[in-house]
Amino acid sequence: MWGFKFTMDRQTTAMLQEDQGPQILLVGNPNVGKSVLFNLLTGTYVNVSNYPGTTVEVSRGRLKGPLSRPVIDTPGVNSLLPRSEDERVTRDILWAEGQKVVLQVADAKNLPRALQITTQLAEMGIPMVLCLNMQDEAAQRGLEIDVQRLAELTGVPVVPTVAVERRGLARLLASVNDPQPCRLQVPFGHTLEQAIAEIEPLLPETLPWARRAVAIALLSGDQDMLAELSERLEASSLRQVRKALHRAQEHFSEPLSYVISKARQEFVQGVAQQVTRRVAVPRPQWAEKIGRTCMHPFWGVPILIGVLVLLYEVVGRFAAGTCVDWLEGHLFGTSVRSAGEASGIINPFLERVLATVLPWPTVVDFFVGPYGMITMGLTYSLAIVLPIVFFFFICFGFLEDSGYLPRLTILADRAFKLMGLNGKAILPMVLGLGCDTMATLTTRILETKKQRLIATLLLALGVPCSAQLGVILAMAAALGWQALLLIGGVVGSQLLLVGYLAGKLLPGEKADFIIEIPPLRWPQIGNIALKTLQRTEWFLKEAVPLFLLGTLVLWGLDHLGWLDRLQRLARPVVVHVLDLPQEAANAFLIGFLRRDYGAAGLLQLQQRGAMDGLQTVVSLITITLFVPCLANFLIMAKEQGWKRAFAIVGFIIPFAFTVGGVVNLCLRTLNLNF
Amino acid sequence: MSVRTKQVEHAHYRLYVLCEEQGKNPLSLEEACLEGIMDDEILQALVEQDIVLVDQHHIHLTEHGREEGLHVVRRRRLAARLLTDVLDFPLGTEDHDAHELEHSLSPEVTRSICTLLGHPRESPTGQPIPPGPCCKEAAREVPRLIMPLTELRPGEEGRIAHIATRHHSRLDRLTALGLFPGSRLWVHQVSPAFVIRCGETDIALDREVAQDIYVRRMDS
Repeated sequence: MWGFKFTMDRQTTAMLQEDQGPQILLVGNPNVGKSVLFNLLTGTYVNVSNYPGTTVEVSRGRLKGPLSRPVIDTPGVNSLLPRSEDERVTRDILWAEGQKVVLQVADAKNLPRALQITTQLAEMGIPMVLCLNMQDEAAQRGLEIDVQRLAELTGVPVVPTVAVERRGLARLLASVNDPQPCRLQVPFGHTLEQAIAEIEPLLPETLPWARRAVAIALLSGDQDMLAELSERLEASSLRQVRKALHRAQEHFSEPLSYVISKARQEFVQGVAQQVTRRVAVPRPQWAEKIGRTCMHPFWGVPILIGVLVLLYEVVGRFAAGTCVDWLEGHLFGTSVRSAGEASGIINPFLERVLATVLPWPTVVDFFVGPYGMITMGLTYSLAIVLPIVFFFFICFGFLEDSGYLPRLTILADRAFKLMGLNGKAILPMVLGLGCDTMATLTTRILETKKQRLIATLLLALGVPCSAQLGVILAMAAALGWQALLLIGGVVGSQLLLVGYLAGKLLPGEKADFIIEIPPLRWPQIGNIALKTLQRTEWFLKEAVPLFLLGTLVLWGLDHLGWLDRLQRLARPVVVHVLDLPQEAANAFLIGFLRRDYGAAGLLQLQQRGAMDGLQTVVSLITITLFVPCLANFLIMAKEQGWKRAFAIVGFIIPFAFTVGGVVNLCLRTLNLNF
Repeated sequence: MSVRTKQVEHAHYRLYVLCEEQGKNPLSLEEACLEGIMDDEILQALVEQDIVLVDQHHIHLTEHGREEGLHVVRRRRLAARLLTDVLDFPLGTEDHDAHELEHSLSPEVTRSICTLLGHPRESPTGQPIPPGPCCKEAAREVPRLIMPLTELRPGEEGRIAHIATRHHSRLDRLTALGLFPGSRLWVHQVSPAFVIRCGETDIALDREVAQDIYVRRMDS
């Protein structure tokens, strides 16, 4: 079977080998409305999952109607050269075995960029249909496309649509039953055409794509393709292929892939010009004006702050505050075993049931005790994290679909560049103020591994989650604004410092900041709702097991009596380096296990008068810089691997204590107090 | 300039490329033969000008020869750049005329051409152009015709002349978005990031990427 070099998952393979008529693959540039169309075409059962080994989401569904053919949505790509994960996954899906039909979704006003992909599909010889979506936006820009002529030039059905209004949908569905291979052929110039002619006959006949496409892929430097073929070709043929590639490159000083891309671009610009007319002067739309303001270096800032505040209000306060309080306090509550008294509904009820049914107290404790799987594990993940996650996804869906997200990242970019990140990182950071565990998962939106690592590190280091933030603000406020300023300043400066150093020292490339900025649009509520549900489901599957695992560890530690021992180990450092009372060690330790408990422990010490102003400041700085909660640690291990997670924690613990110690020393030397 | 002198300068160019850029200093006589630089008269002239030293088996490029060679190379490649970028010679045909043109370029003219072209770093065929003093000062007296995108102000239009980067992925990403030689673009804003419009697409770039895109300013 082909494709063992390419990542292939069983589900897609199974789908593509079903015998229900060719499967429909949705392909297209980003921001063309592919997912809207996908949702319109498919029924209720849709499976969204990460393509194996990647962080790329792939949706699979079935066509509505009697045939219920499989429909697969690929990530938005600008080209089918496998340079990014998205492109690689799309290419892999196109390469997979099985009968397929491509439904290419294009942005009518950006025809040349769509035709780039069309020509590549043409080379592959896969039957296709071209959907020109967003006709309304093209009309606003004064553009008119001669659909008839385009259909003639390409030889495929071309269907104009406005997906969000469901216009053209019927015609589109009809055309999917009659796809054609596209006949656009890019003339690549004498040298390259000669190379293609040399390579083609050397390739096996039975490939998923026409041999021309494979030859062009090889000339473009597709290493996976070369590896794939080296398994299938005799050594002599392979040598000849390599020689032909080498010879072709020698003719050009620029990389072959660039020469090919340029030729392709020039060709599609020509085709687009033949079928596009500007019939009116574009009317400046309010959406455009607002869109520009959002990016403006001056006026964009208040908008950015407004959006961030709104985000924080919804996720950090409403979700993390109100919803969580209700869910945790009233719905789930506590059992007698876990908190000394029964409150709420679910936990006491379960406690009663289990206590009656199971005669072994230890086992009951395992479920509903202080570190019980239900009272802690499930309650934590469902009552605390889930509402936060859910509302975050809603907000994120809004930001994505409205087109505001790229604008936001532009404004944030400069600041984050200092830390080896780019503007996109603002999202996980803000989200971290709600829940760090969630934010760590969100680092997936960053493009390079290095950026994800730095973001994960900074989140763990200095971003206090909403539980902590509330307590810290309360404690600091009691001491006056100077204390707050000092704490904020120290933590902030350390974040910048560590980020800056990490950016310089860690290996890995900086990702180029090249982003397309789509027009601002009214987001489709239905689309957001669907995405949110899909993502929440994904989060539940990924994270809840981790929370349960964390609880299991805690229960084990408590059961073995090691919690006490760990606390005693921590005391010397806490007392001598930080000059804090020894109970603070408990706060730090419990804080790792449950971040909000840790800070609450310090609050109690302060309220009892066991810590003075200076000690409070030192303890707050240290706990903010201290390791994140256990769930966060587990998510880090999941996303970055155990070695990295341990390395991060191994760095943060001494670092936090050192900084705390230094601040302690400085304040005492300067004889300051709060 | 006499034909003789032109030939000597041409040989000097070839020697510089072989010795300095391809690292073959000293150059073996056999190889020089293969490259066609074994004319006795020309070698004699080069020795007299203290450009090379010839012994039994090798040709050595002297320090002086290296310094002077740098200028020869610079002139040749700037001339080639001028022909392709400004005078629209198709790539591949500019070579002969660049040869001829180069011999007549005085240092001042060279400096002006370099400034006009925005201190390009590479010839049309991808060979590096050694920087001159004007590049280091990024001199601007002669109004620039071709400049990095970072020189354009909001509201200005440009047509891409060439993209000076070797990062394959960057080239591919830019091309896929429609940014390649010949495309017209319009600058919307320059801070905090460069935002340009190309076709009907708005694209944001940071300075590092924008610096690689050399454009010709267009008056709309």
